[in-house]
Amino acid sequence: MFQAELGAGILLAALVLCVVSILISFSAGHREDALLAPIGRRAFCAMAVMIVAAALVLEWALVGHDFEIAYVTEHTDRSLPLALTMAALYGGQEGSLLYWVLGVAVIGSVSLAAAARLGVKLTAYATGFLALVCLFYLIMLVFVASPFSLLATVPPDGLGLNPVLRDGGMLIHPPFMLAGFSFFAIPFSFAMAALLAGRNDVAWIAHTRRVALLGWGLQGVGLTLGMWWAYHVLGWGGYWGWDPVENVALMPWLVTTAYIHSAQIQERRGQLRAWTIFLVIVAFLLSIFGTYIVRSGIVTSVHSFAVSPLGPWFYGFLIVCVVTSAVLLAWRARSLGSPPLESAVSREGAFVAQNVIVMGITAAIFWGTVLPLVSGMFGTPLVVGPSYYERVGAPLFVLLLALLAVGPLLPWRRAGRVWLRALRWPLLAAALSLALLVLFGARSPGALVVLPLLAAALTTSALELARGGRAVQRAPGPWAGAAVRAARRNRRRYGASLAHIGIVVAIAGIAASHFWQTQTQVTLRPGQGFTVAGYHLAYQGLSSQVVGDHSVKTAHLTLGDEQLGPALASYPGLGAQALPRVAIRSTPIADLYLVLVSSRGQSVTITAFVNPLVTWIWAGVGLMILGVIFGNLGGAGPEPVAEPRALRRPAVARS
Amino acid sequence: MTSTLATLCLLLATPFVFWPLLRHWSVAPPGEPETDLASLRQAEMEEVEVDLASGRISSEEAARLRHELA
Repeated sequence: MFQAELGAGILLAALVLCVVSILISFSAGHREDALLAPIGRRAFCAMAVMIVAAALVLEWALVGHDFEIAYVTEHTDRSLPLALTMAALYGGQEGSLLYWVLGVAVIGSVSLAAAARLGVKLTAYATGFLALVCLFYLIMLVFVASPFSLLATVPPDGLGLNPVLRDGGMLIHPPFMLAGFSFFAIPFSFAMAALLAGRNDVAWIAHTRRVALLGWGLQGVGLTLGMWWAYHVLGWGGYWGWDPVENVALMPWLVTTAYIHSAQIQERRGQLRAWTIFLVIVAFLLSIFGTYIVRSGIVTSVHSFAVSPLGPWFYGFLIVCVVTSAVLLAWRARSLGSPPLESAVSREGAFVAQNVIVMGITAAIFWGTVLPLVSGMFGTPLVVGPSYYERVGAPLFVLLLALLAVGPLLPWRRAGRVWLRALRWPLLAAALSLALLVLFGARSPGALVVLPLLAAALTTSALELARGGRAVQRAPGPWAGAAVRAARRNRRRYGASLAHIGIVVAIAGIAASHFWQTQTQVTLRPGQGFTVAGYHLAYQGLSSQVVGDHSVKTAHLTLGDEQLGPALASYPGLGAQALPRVAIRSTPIADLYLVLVSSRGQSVTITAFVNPLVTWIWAGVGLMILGVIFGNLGGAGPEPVAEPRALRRPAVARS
Repeated sequence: MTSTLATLCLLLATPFVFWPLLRHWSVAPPGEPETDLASLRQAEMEEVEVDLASGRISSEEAARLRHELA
């Protein structure tokens, strides 16, 4: 009882502090009051501390099996391992809302504390907007979906966790995704504050770029972990199913990818001001849209365990955010004008083309996701499958790859003949790889287009790194020291090259596993075997075992000296829900992926997949994240705004 | 009990939140900013004179600083 009361009390205090922060911050921004502004910021920080305290109280209740709290009963039981019990903090509806607002509040506090140089007005408004975002979540947590609601009667044990979620992936995939989503609120709040304050300089962009990159990186990792989880838990042989919930997580990530590039044009050339703000706003709105789709259950999804009556609330919040941001953007549109591009064939032009293509892909995914809703209003809901996304998205991804091959070689402002000469190496790489593919019998048009483009893009990124290497060789002093100095001086350039190589490696994995996946299904008796894509497997027999609240049947297969055991787990207490346990043998060349579909006596039906280069996807994303981290560590901070003239003497040299 | 605990939390947070206001009142009481500026100006003028006397700055530099502070 005490934990529930304490948690609810802390959340109520956080709500009051949030309202105080909103009122004081907007007032301070309006009056440019340097005394009130830090009070609004401190109220926000105090709210963040309260939210952290509430999360700790919920963890305390979860770990202590306080089953009088409904949330604890609904998402844990006594048999659940400690790590998964603790992960239940974000495993359910109310807890994930608390985790979401925790991310906004903590990172928001850090970001605001470092924003003093941006000036009183902008920082105060940013505090106000951040607090407004938190207000919505706190209202949900206090009045609509409290994680501290009490049950009328206390059960002896909890209901436990959905078997699909009883996996190591559950520990890491949701927190990354939710943190990524929540971080989009910070650039959004600063963008709204800049619009309200009439600031069209780049200081706020430089300030929030790292938070945006952090959110982008976290969500990139979250998406990849989700793919990895789907790959090794769901047992359908793939990692991306174009599920609506996957789509809504991908869209803000794509828009932030566009923003990361357009922000560079604004910082370097003062162009695309309105467009950059538009991207920041759209990324945030899509993150709210995504939450709405997941919470409302309005479209059918594999994430249906997250459905709740919160959908209309999120819909209302989304409408408020859309209207507010549209009004502010329209109000300031005239002051956001920026000089046009000098030439389309330039680095800026490549970034603009990249933005247009990425937004085109996002629009196609958005349309595929909302089509059931839109068509449902006029009759039978229409649902599109993976073929739609592949048909519409493939040409755009090909254009993006082509841009990745030529874009980094373009100079700022205007490209001359030197650029055309620089193209010879990527073109040569593309031609060579095309010849090799034809020589080895590849006939798929997709492979013949994508793989040469990948070779060209890889050559371009490698050329960028090689140029840096040559400069290091020419530099005086030890080689290692020169390399470190050069890397420090050109962080963004080398970070981008590394990230681009990561993208190429990941796309190579996606393309290879898409074009050359082999699949077969066989029914076997002990002693029988089968061959798939050169792998010969022999079936030894089936064993059964009872583990806790479920039973597991394991098919024992051998591949040479290696043992592989695809299994099927059955949960009688959960409506005899059966879940496959995939056996995967991973190498850098290919994954052998075995699924036990069913069994009768000792006879088993096995589906076997051979997925080439899947490990390249995980490695590529890792490289991409490393590149982004490296490119954005250290470096110059934002340009300070002019401070009011103070009574002070000029510096005098002292002897 | 929830309201009592919430009030307790708010009481704990109040000094932190309103600290800038409390510090402002204790350091610079309202109605005295001009006096404060004048005393600062006086202190800086005295420092210029000390620097001139000790030869740290030239007479031209001192004249420029006096003009700036005036």
